[in-house]
Amino acid sequence: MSENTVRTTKKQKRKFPGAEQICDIVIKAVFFFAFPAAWSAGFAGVKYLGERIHSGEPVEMSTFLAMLLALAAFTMVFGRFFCSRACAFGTYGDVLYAVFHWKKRGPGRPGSKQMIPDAAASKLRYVKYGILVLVCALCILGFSSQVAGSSPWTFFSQLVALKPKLGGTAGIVGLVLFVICSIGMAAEKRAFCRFLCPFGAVFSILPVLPFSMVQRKQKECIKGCRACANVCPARLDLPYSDIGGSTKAASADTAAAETAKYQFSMGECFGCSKCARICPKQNAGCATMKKGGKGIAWDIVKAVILAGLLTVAAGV
Amino acid sequence: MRRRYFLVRSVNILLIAALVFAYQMIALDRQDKEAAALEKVKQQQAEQRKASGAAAFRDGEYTGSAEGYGGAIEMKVTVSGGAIEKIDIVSASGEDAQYLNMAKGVIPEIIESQSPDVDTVSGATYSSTGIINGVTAALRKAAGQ
Repeated sequence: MSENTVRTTKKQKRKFPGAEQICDIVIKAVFFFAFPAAWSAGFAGVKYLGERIHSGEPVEMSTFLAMLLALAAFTMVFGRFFCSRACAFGTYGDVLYAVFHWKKRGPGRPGSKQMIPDAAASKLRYVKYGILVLVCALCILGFSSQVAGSSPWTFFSQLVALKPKLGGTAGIVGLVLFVICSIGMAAEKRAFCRFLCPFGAVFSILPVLPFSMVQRKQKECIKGCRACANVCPARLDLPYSDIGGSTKAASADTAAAETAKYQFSMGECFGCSKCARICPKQNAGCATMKKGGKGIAWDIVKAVILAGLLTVAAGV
Repeated sequence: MRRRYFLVRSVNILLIAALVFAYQMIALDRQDKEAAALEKVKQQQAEQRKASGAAAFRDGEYTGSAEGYGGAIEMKVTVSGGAIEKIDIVSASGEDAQYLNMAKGVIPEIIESQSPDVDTVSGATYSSTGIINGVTAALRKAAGQ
């Protein structure tokens, strides 16, 4: 309670960003300017597979496919670090959200504003799988050029490159979708990533090595504390490892519920480390997502590996 | 719990990989058959070209430029023996590396078909169109127009 009252007084309304936040901003900025097209090129790899199936030609190694494989491999080892730090569209959304919530912002403030209630959000997130299936189906059926032209990402990557081209109806559809996505991102944390991004859907179905998956222990949790859920951009309710995990289960039902929670929600985790940083008991996190200096070190390691992979893939 | 998650999701990937692999096998088989048929057609075309005697292009090096994604792409075409022998990108400073890489795929196609009348690379439409148009401009000089 006392911390909350302190934070709402005028003088300390905004906390100066700590080392972790500065590290985040630097990583995001570097990837935004160095690899603005990583995500559209990687997703082009998915479309490329569809086009190949349409044309009946064998799949050949190409830059787009290499980008897709590099991002998939990285995600399987470290989780969706790409989504939280390196994706240009995600960074754009974070900036939009921060600008539109400038006054009300504060890390993990209870009851942090959300436009979409959690119950609706947990259903809306399946829309992105629908979009992924739709895009794949259109490519397989031979409409890939129309898909490419009208995608909001194409428009966005052109915008980042400061060369917007509004070619025909497809380009205008792209612009309209881009504006809609922007409004969504400004209103709700990572709305596009959580509900609409088909590349995010690809990452969501990937397995992630256990040491990069976030979880917490119920017996360590402070009763009624929802700091991690409130700060989470995906509004995830972290599963308890000591109920569904290997330790003696409290009851078979709760264990099954925890396992189910893991199966259905943890693909949505962006790997942003915010839960690990906010937890007052250092209870949330995993081997590669930690609080403080170790967390920063891991973030830098991941950023360097990802940048290396993307550079190599871009040259294939 | 985490391990279980990993195993269950690994099945997803294995399934998708298996599907792509199966497709790849079918497609490769089909490609072999098509390649054999195509080879025959090409030989005939080459013979016809020789028989007609008229070299399509004058020998030499020609440059041409065209608008790519982020500016002009300048191409150099080397013609020898009346045929397109080599195509280089002189400058393409406005293109993103990975897109330019993809777009380069049209170059061997142009050399193979001895004509810039090839399909663009989908996903890298602007860059590949720039390359194709640059080569077209260079070949126009080679044809003496």
